[in-house]
Amino acid sequence: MELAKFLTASRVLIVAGKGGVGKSTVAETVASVAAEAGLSVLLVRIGALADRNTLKKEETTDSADVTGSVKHLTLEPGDALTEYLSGRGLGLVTRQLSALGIVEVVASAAPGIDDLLLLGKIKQLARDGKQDLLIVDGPPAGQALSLLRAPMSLGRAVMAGPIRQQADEVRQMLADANTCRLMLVTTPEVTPVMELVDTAFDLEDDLGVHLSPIVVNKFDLDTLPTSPDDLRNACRSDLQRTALDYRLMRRDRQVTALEELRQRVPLQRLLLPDTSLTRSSGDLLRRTFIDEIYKLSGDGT
Amino acid sequence: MNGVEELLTTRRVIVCCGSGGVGKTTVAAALALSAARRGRRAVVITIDPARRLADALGRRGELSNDPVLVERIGQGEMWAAMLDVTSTFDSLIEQFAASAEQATIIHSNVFYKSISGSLSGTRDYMAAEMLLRLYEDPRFDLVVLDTAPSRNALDFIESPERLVRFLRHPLFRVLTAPSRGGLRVIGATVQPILKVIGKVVGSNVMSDVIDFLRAFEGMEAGFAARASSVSRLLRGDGTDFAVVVAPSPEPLNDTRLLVERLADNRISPSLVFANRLTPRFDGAGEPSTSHMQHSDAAQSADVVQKWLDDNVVALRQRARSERDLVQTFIDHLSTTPSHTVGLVEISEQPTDIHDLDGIARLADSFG
Repeated sequence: MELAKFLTASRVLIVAGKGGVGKSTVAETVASVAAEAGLSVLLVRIGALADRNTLKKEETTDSADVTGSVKHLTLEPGDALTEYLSGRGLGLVTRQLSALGIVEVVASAAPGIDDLLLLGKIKQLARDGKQDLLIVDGPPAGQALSLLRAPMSLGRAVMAGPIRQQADEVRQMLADANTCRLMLVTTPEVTPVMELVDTAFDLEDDLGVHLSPIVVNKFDLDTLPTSPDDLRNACRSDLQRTALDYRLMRRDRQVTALEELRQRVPLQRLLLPDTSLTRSSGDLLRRTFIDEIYKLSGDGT
Repeated sequence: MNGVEELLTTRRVIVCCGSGGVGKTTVAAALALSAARRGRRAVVITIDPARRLADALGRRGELSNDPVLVERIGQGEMWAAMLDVTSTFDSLIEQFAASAEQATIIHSNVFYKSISGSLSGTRDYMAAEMLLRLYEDPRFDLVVLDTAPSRNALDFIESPERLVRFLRHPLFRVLTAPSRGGLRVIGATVQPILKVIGKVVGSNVMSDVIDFLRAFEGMEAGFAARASSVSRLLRGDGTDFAVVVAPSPEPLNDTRLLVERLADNRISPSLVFANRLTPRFDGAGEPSTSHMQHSDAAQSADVVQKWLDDNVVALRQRARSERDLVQTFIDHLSTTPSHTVGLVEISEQPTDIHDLDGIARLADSFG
C-alpha cells in the first residue's frame, strides 16, 4: 500500500494500547513518518494522570510547541470541562463553580462528561482542518475504551441540551472511517494480545470505529544467521547457550502470540522491532514502519 | 527478616498498585499464595483479571464478591475474590437503608444505575469497601488488594473522602433538605447554579440526581462512618503498599506520579516489585570481541559465533538498562533518609502466567 494513501486515509488517527506496549513511541513514529512525507501533523497527547475527579485547573493547558513539522499539544480532561463551561458564556460563574466544587458535581452527575468534552475538542481540531493529520496518543487501552464509549453512554443518559448534541457529533466522528481511525498497539505476548482482541471487537461492535492495521511492537525482528539447532550446536560456552535459549524462547512466544492474533482478528498487522536488542532506535522504527506499510495489501484493512 | 518476609508475616492488608499491564494481578495473587505458605489465611481481591487467570483462581465457575478457597497449604489458606461493583454498592444500600422500600427506590433510580455500574470513582470506592469487609471477616488474617488501573490510580485511596465530600456538599444539603414543593423553595443563591448545571447536562439528569439524593436521605451518616473506617484502615499500621512496576519508561513514569500522590496522602510504600526483568546473564565467560575471517567455511562459523556473542552482549545490555531504569525510580522514591524502599526483582517468566502453577513459580521467586 502507498504510504501517502495510508497516512491520509483519515484526518484523525487515535493510537491506543495498554501501558508498556510503547503506544507513545508508535504515535511519535507515525507522526515523524507523516511529517517526513510532507504532511503537517499535530500530535495530541491526553494527560496521562489527569485528575478527572477534582478537575484541577492546571497551569499549562494547551501548550503548542513546534519540533520540525510535528506540532505537539497536550489536552487535560478536566480543563476541557472548564473550558467548555467558559465557552458557553458561563465564564464568569465557572471560576466560582470550581471554587465551590460544583464542577466536580457536574462531572459526577453525568459520568464521562470530561471524556466527551475531550473528544469534542479533538473533533473541533479535526474540523478546523489546520493539519493534514491529527494523531492522538490516547490513554491506556482500558481507559481508551471508556473514553471512546463516553459519547454513547452519555447519549443514553442525557436526552437533550448541548451535551447531547456534542455526544451525537462525536459519535458521528468516531464512526466515520474517512475522519477517524483507531490504531491498536500491542506487544507480541499472549495476555496483551487477548486483551486487544476483546477491545477490538468491543470497539467495532459498540461504536463502529474503523480499525487500522494492528501494530505489534517490540517484536524480535532480528534474522538468525542459521537454524536454531545449528546455533545450539555452535555454542562454545554455557553463557552463549543460556542467552541463546532465552532469546529463542522469547522468539517462540512472540510467534505464538502473533499467530493467536492473526487467527482471532481479521486485520492486517504492522510489526515493529524490539529496539532494546539493537543499537539504532528512532530511524530503525521509522524505516521499518514504512516498509511494513508497503507490505500491506488492498486498502489497508 | 527481609522486606517480603516482613510484609507477608506481619501485615493485615497489602495494597498492590502500579500502572496497567505490569502484572499487578499476578503479583497480588503470588503474594497471597506466599502468605498462605507461611500459614496465613490470605484472600486476594482482583479487580479486572485476565479471563484465564480468573478461571484459574475461580476454579469452579466465575469469581465473584464471595471469596472462594483456592488452595490449602498446611495451616495456611489462599482465597480469591473478584470485585463486583454493582452488587457491592447494592448491598451497601441495603445495609444502610431504613427500610426495604427505600432500598428498592434507590436501586431503581436512573442516576443510581448509571453511577453504580460505570462511574470510575464508584469502582474505586467499592474496592475500598470490599477491602474493609474482608478485613473484618474472621475467616481471613491478610487481605491482598489488586487496585484498578484507573486513570488516576489513586482515586482508590481518595475515594472514601471524596464520597463524604460529595454527600456533605452544601448543594446536596439544600437539595435533600425536607422538601416542600421541590426546587421552587430552594434559596436564591443555589437556583442559578442549578440552572447552569441543568443547562449543561440536561434537566432530566438533574432531576434524576435530585430524586436519588432524596431517596438517599438519612443514609449519609452510615456511609460517611463507613468511609472514615476505610480511610483509617488504609493509613493504619497493619496496612502496606506494594508498588508493582515493569522496566519500561512509560509505565515507570506514570507510577512515579502515582507514588508522589501516595505521599500527598501520607502513604509511603515499603516495597517495589520489579516484574518481567531480563535475566542478568552474568555467568562465567566473556563473549569474545574479535572474530577472524579466513576461509568461507570458517567465515560462516565466525558469523555464527559473532551472532551468539552479540546476543549475550545485547541481552546483558538490556538487563542492565532495565535495572538502571528501576534503580532511578527507586532512588526517586527514597528521597528522605528515614524512608528506604526495598526492591524485589522478578525475572521474566518463561511462559505467560495464567494458572496456579504459574502463580506458584512467581511466589517461589519471592524467596
